[in-house]
Amino acid sequence: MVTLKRSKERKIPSHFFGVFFGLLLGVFIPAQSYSTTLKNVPDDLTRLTLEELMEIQVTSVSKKPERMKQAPAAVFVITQEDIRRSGATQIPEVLRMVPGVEVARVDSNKWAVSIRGFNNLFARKLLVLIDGRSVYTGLFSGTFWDTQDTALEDIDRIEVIRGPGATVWGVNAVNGVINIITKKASRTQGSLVSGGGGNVEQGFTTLRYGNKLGENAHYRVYGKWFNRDSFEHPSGMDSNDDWTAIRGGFRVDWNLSENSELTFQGDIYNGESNSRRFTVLAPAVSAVVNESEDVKGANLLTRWSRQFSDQSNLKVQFYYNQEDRKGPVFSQYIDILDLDVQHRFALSNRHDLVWGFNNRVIIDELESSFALSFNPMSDTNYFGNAFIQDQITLVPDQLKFTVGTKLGYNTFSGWEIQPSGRLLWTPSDKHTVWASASRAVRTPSRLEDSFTLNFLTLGPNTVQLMGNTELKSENLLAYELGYRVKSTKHLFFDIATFYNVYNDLLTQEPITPSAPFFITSQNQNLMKGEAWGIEVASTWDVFDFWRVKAAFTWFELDLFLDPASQDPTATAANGSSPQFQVNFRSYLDLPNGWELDTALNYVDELPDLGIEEYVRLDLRLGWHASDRVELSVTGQNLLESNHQEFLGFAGGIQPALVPRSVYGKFTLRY
Amino acid sequence: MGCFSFRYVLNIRLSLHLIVHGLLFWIWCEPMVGQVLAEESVYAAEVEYEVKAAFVHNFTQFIDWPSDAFETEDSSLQIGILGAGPIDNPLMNLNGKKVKGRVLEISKVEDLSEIIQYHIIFVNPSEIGQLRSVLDTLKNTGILTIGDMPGFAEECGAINFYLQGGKVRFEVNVEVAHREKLKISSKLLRLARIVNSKCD
Repeated sequence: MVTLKRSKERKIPSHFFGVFFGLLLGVFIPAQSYSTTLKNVPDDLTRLTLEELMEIQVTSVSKKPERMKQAPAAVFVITQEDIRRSGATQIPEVLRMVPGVEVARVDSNKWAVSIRGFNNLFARKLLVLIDGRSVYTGLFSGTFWDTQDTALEDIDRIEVIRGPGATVWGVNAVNGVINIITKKASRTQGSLVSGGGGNVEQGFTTLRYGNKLGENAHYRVYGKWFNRDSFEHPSGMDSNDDWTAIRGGFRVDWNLSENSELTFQGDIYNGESNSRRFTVLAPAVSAVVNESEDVKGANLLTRWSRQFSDQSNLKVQFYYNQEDRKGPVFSQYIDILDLDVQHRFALSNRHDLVWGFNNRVIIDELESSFALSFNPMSDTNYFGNAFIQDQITLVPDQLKFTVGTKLGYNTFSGWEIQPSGRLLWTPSDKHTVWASASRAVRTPSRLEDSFTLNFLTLGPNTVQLMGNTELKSENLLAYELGYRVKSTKHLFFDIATFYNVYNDLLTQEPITPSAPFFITSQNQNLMKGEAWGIEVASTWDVFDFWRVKAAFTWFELDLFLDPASQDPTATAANGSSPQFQVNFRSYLDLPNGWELDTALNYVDELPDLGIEEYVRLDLRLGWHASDRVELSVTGQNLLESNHQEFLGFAGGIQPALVPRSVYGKFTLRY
Repeated sequence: MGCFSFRYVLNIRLSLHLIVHGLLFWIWCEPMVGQVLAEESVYAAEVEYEVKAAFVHNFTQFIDWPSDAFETEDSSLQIGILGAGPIDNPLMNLNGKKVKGRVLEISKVEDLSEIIQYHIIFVNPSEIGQLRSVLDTLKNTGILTIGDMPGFAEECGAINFYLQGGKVRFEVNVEVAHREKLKISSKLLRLARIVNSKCD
């Protein structure tokens, strides 16, 4: 590899790094004796707000808070602190720190995000949830990241589960689940005002207010607005991908009694996302055009939960989600109704059961253009499934076996069964070993079922891709093995490995054209594949004032076509994922309320897309001027004036270069 | 990118090299770091009391004493600890902190008859036997009483800590605060459980 040769020639810089970090350590270790370090423990706590103090778990009430450490799956948790100190202003940017997750910014308002391969502008093999609400589009199960937003200060944590989470979670959780969880209203009391701006961030502000509603209920309301500049196209032209949005929302948490709770929440947004798109305007006529999409949506969710005992609870959730996009190439008006019920109870000392069901209706109304059309233009589809899972304690406190299955029905592919078995071994408090085997499916989407996309012109001919109502689900058999160790209070280390076997993956096969001067292909299930990889995450509290986190990903994908397939492009996914990714973060607390945060991110080349490897350096300097005022300056992509992270081939979106950016921000709490 | 290219440095081999060396460093150095910290951090395990002390620190920002409670604009804010308990050390660590232009001074209350200097008195659970007489003595002194025992607020203490779901909560007896002419901000009251027992 070229890069290896280069590094040999440049051995000195790597020594330079050693010396540099050595100096860094040398400066900080003697400067702070251990006794003063200990005085800093209460210092840190006194800097917290009352709401934050009220959330610190000082005693463990049940086994549930241990859930993450005890999970027999590859789990990574992004905390509010991680989000704040990353300086990220959009949710997908925060996900760069997670091993096994691929994040590439296609243009100013579009991201390709996936887990364990198959990345695409609208990667379709993962499930994205915000407070239990699926936010991937009902149309083709990709995620429009430009409309997935909330007040970032109100996010409690983002749990990223790599690998099939199909048994408990919904369909689409083939390669993983991204679960965004906001704080309870009781934790966001009082007022928060934040805002700022910079070269790309041309202005943003968030307002939030929380208060009590009587004795047993809390609420919050928020509003948020931003305006982001366009990037540059690789040709040097402006990419016309600037965007703006305004959104607002609320959340009410009501303690009906000691053991039951009712949550009611909702959001509404309206924005404009622009792009440059290559599009076929008429037979044999194509052009790159600037376009503007009006995006708006709203959702309302209610969740009732009741704790019967330590081992038993019931949760019922219902939501309505509306998601509209209006653009020149296509427009969608989608309504989703979703009911989810989960019941957990202990059958005996050894058996901990969870069962539940989910029903979902997706009602769509689409508008087409010559480039993209649907048949029918409006449709209603049903999804229903039920699951049961038993966690069996084989050896108390040491060995647990979880077995479960999900049985689902959908209008596209009929019945699907998704079983899984997981083994968890905790030989001591410090060590956790887990292994699993599971099956997951990705059901065909409305788009793959019934669309016609005219995506290219070749002389007098128009090249088109058509949906297929006979599609089968893409399916996966996944084998995983993981190990977690908390070697001391200050060091945590997590390693996960997997071997995935895919069947019935989608390809595009030539068929007899529908009309003269058309070259037509159709989606079929004629590809298989294997993927394997290693993901490592670690956290090291070097001192009370310095935390270092690192993540490493090694990923391999090998796709092969069925002999009957004539698709020349499907195996390109082989080289659309970075083979290696490294993420290094440092959170340094300096005296007088200053913070210096560093994130260094290496992403390997994407050979099949012609994307070169790149290194991102993000720096954030923050200052807690008082308990109520926080100021910060964040620089992103500081090493290069710009770089390209992906192609935008889905739907003809023109990719843009991600630029160096700097912005300042203030946050007031009172 | 400038003359020094990170792209060449951070290649795959170096990444692996750094990870392996990082691991070795952890294995060698981490137990030592841990040991040194563990020796001195007896109270560090007592998160509960550090959190409660941080609450006390926070309270000072949301409570206004009458102006005659301080001799000058920059007189210190005196916190006294009555009795003995695990919160003593975390509270002592607040010593010297500045809140709204006043320095916090923490000390042990040796003699209940010499309490006039204090603005806050924290009553340790060790005093539960003579709680009534203690609170009687502190009546109409303009001192904010904070306790950490069931029934403290009902017995006419101003603020009391309790645990709920493993988290620290606090209750405020608004009658007492009113009697002592303490102004408690609405923000603090929003987060508190309100106790209304007759206290005069």
